[in-house]
Amino acid sequence: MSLPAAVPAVQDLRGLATGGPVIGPPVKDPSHAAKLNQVIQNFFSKAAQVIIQSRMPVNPIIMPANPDAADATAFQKKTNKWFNLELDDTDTFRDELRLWKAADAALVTASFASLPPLLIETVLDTRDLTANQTLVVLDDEGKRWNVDAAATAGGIRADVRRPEIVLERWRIELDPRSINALGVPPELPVVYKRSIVLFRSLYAYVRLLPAWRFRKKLSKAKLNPSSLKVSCRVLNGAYPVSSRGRIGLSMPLVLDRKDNTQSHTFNKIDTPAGAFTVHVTYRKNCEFRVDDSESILSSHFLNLDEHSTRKYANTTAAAGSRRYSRTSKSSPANSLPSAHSPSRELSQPDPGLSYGSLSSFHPQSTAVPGASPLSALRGAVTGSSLERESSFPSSLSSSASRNVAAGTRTSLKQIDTSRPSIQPFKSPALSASPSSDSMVTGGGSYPRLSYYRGSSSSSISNHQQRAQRPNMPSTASGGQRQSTSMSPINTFNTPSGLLAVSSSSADSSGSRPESSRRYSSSFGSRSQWHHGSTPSSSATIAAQQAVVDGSTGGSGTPSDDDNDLGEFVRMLDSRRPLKLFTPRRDSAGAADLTGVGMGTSAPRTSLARFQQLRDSHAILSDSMSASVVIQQRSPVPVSGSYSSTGSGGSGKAISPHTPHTPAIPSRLSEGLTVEYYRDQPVFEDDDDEVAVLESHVDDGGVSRCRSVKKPGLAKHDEEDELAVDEGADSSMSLAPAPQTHMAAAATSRSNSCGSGGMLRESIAKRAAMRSSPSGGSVHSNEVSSHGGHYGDDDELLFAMSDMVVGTNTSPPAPARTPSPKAAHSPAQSQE
Amino acid sequence: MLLITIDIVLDRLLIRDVIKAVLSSIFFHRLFGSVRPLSPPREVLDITYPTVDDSALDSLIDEKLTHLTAVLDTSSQNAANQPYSGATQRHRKAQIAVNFFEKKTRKAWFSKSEEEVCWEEWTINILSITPRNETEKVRVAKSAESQLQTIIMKIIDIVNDNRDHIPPIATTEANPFPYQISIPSETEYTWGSVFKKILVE
Repeated sequence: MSLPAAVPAVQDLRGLATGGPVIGPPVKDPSHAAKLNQVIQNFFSKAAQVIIQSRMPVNPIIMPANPDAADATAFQKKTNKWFNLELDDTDTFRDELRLWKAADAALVTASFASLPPLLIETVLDTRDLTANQTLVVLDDEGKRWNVDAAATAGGIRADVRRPEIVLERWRIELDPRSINALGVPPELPVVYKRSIVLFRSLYAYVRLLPAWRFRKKLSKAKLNPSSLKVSCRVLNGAYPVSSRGRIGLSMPLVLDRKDNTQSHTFNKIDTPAGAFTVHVTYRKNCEFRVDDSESILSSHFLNLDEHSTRKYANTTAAAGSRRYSRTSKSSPANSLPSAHSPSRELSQPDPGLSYGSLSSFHPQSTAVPGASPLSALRGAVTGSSLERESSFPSSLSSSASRNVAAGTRTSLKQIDTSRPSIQPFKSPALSASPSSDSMVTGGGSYPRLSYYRGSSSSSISNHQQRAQRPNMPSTASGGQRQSTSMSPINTFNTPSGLLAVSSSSADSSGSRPESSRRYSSSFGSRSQWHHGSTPSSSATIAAQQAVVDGSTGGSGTPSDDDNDLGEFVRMLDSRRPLKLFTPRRDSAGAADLTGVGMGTSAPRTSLARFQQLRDSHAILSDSMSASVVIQQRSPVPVSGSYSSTGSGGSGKAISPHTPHTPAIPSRLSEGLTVEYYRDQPVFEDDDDEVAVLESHVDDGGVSRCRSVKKPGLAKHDEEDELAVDEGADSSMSLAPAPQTHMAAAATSRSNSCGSGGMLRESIAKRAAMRSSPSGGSVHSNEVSSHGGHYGDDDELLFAMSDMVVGTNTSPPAPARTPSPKAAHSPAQSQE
Repeated sequence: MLLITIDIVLDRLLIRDVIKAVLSSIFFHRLFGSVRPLSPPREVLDITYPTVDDSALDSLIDEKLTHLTAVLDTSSQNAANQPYSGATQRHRKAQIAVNFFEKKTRKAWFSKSEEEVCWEEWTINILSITPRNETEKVRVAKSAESQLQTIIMKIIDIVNDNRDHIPPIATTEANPFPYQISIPSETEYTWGSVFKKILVE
């Protein structure tokens, strides 16, 4: 019963297995009854622990490493070895599980009701969401569904937000009713042996379900504390499960799908006390995100639109006009909010990435361009992307960029005249890391940037008031939330402040009091946004990187300083320096950009500290700067337009898969498999194999700038898409390479999930380009020979994979975000 | 004896990582001694798979995977030298098998001998392909991801639905059932090789 006794019990059972005396029915042998009780009790508690420990953090039980020794300093985690699966023991939910830990087989046999099923629910806790945040869930195709809207549709009052969503419900039960049918009850060693298998597979299974993936994503982003939490709940199965005050498992969230949940029952284990079963019902779509309240609107309409026009018209005019009408539906006054959704989708892991800045420019930029220069800059960038995209065929141009550009034409013109009209980076403006673009254009304009922060909160509330959601209070109530969404803005402050530093004190990184004061002031602003969200810090690096890389493109920074500057900023970006200044943050945080933040009293000492820290951060900064390259590059090929395009015609190429496939009989003979492959035209022409290899070889030497520019070039030249093919390929094959650093940096700050997603979408975009009318005719032909359904040879392969594993029922790919490793491992082993 | 066959189509460059995940999942369910799962668990292609925290097994698997990839690369050279022989340059087959044995004591008339009787065999048929370009590579990786998830699910189903053939655990050793990982080289896994094997035995 108590866990220390558990381990000896295992040995006892093994002893039984070695051919001890034949075990009689429980009643005849008290020791047998005790063992049976132990097995039953541990069935429940072990199953609960396997499930709970995979879903939430638990408290390990710490005990002295050697209880007999006087040395009480050595402690170790207590291990539960039941069923030969060693897990850390925990007292989490000890009280809730008490009923099952005290189960008595004799009582169970006598009365079924004495031991109710144990229910464990995995729930998503949404209490920390603020009023202006909207929870959405992504379906298999990456479309977002507003959870609140779904709940309302399901009959929940619209003005009440449920604090909890049930993701999974596990039912663990011992059913004594099957005992009679059993005949001879199995011996305990057999029960134990089978239980080993059951618990092993339970352990593996819980890590394949959607909730695990979701939790994994959340925890990877833990430096940016999400307002979402996954936790568990232990319930007594004797009572009906109530959905009161929460979104139950039966309430669909993805509304165009009949079955939002799926079930699995593990093969029962017969015991002398009844059949032991583990059963789970889970939501198939557990990829939740927090969105700005308005962006979901456009997405919502977009979804509606998609439904009515599933058949995607290919003509430019049709696509363009429909998008316009769609957007105007969502926000008649000014179609800006739709601009959110594309960038939103791409910047998935950071809930607030660019909302503050994007939304704020709207009310102000046309009227008072100077008041919100940042947004004006953004508008400018958008505008230039519009010009580019207008030459770009239909399917890739976006309502978002058009509308934004339309809205900010005036300001864009003004800005455009004041700077070189050439974009250093041929990157779409609505890419997920707008900071780099804007930074490039706004390299020298930091004084204007600095007072942007003041205006941002008001503009945000303006923006909120225009929200059409009735239950969304406007304003700044979202305290923490706003600071998050503002962080990208502050991001701009920092590098630009540093630019000022570098131009004034180019070569000395800190002995002069003047420059030191500026350094510290930039810390002031940094510390502030570090409070908000961590990914933004990498956005800053991205911005910085962009400045460094693009300085020759006309940002006005003396290029000699770039290295020093970049190095310094990278150094700043490690956490420890920030900690050093933590006590001062509050005062420094409020400081103006040029301001007094740290004061002049202690600059020397702090700078000396920095320099000491410098070396220790070198490695980290290297890996981070590498990750920056991704941050900066991966969004590049993905113009904001892609998301809308994607959910249209070529959307299936992105994520046609269910997050999790039921296990399927996978018997295709090997010969058939090969045969099938051989039939695929895709694999038959080896024509450009060599060329591709060459481009791989190139990859190592390709400069960052080039890789960033490539996709833009590809877009320009889409007319001879085939010719550009190689180039585009190489730019894409570049992407995996930095993933190495990416993985290294993942623990520190970069959000690998997000970048992975972006990376993949950028690739998917290329696929979409291929299928565009002008290019990729070869592939189109192949596809059509396969069967008209697939719009891209992407699909072809998926179809093949289906065949190979023998599933024709549902597409199998479980995740829409390839891990960095997916892209990374080929690159690595290629060497 | 239970025979289980798994077919998988993989990018040549993904084979090592993905097959490792498959093997780890099999062993995780088949080492009946007390095991500690590797924590944090390993991942490949965004799929988390269970691994027994056992460095000896880990290095055995690594060694076999090195062998496996070597076989694939050798066969590619052969294929280059030979005329079209069923498998094109970019499609190659390989196979890796895992056997689990039960120790049985056999009493003959005048001697006692211990023999290992196979009670389960997992055969993984691998079709290796070399993607022509990056888009294809991404697609193959995506397909590998879905295949791997399906395969691990299937392993879970198989081990749960087939339990009666597992021999009794008659030892308190860490691992009651000896195992073996084998990789027939390309020429071997034809019918001829089967006969050859029989002769050897």
